[in-house]
Amino acid sequence: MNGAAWAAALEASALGAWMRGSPWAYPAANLVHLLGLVLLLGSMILLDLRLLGAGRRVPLPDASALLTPLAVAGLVLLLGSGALLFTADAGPLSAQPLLQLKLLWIALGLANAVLFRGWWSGRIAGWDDNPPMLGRVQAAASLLIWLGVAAMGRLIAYV
Amino acid sequence: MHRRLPLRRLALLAALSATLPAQAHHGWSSYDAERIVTMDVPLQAVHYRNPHADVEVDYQGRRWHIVLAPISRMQARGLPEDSLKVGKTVRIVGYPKSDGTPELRAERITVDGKTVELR
Repeated sequence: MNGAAWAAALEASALGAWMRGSPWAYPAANLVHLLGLVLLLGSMILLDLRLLGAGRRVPLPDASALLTPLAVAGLVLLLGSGALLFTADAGPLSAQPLLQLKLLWIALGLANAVLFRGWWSGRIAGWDDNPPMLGRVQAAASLLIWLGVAAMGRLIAYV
Repeated sequence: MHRRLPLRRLALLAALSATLPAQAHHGWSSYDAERIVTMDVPLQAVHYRNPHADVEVDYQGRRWHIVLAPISRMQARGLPEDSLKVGKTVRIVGYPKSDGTPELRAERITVDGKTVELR
């Protein structure tokens, strides 16, 4: 089954029909998506800025320990609610260039985050004394990627 | 000095992101708000659904796609699903797409003599 047929089948499924037909399911999924966005973006902006050198009065290991679980929780809410919103319009959405670009950027953001954890977890404690250049570039990229993903998500409704 | 730079960047980001919703809000900019169109037409197709309901009608030789509103709003304002039936003649007032495609953003719809505002 190719991508278009798969999306059409998803849209025609009972779940897709429910997302379209229920008066509250779609707005509820929208609210959860927004909550997830606030958690992910809020945490990542704070953590990335901290990695870039802002707010040094807050110890980086503490900031990371507090913010990372919130970001992961936000990500889980975003993926779940995003999949639900997608089912309502899977056919046209799967063909939409902006959504495709957004999914690509999400993959980039996740890869960036996983690589960051893999490479620099051991250096978080001494980060401020000797921050790795690549790690700071990754923090800046993370900031841009997640802000870009959020902007693309919002603009899907307008293109 | 070095410490302050990210905060300045943050302020810039905040200022930039504040303009985004302002431009995109009522992404209705693709509709021509200077040109109001009134149609008295029978419904050819009805999709009572989220994120917004839409209907199709034939108007001046073309099949038009009419964008209505989220179904919770339509229900709250007295337009339940069974009020929109294929074949029923309704009055639709709204703004057409600026680029000439036969698509209309409906401001209000009159069904069975009752006018419902959709915005």
